[in-house]
Amino acid sequence: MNETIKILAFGKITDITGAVSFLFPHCPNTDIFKEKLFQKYPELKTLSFALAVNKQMVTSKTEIQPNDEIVLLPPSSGG
Amino acid sequence: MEKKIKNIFTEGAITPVFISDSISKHSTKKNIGAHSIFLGQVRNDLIDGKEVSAIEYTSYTDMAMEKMAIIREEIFSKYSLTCMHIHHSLGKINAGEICLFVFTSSAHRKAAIDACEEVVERIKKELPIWGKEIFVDNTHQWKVNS
Repeated sequence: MNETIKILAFGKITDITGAVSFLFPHCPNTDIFKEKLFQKYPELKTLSFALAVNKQMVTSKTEIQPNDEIVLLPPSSGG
Repeated sequence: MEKKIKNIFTEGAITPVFISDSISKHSTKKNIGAHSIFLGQVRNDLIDGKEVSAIEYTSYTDMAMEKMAIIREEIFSKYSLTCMHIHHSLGKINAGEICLFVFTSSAHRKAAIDACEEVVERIKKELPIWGKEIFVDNTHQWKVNS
């Protein structure tokens, strides 16, 4: 079986992905991941969101290992 | 020393009874001279003619609690507080119900008031929490904080 990564989505992102938690084919880094994510969900290109890999916020291109957890975080709106 | 991370989340609305109990618990702390309380209430906004009936909150709770622990430390080092309590709702909260309770206490009023205001602003800006505004007709839109 091909290697995967775990995705967690929040807020408006879930309207587009349909699921809060899902598996995605492994991508070697966050740049390639975003490219593949946008191919699958073109509507995401219009949203602003941050990425976290294993709970660490991504500020520049980051390597991804199989089974890593990637979180898609749109701007928050608590309170 | 490893610090225990406090859970700030409550499933459902924050009740007036919970808030009054929380105030009562401070009567034994006689070095306190001032409390400041912020209560966030779900508002029935009218958006494009549709009324908001509830907000459903979700959070990336692990990250939210880690971030809140950092904010807590920064607030305590900046202001001379006796204590601070934070409660944020998760799940569906109806218009008119309380979804955020921030409670700061200090010897003198300025520290409690200023810390309370700063912590409310930081919660709204920095914690990974999302509010889904649910309209009376069951459609929704995602809340945007101003």
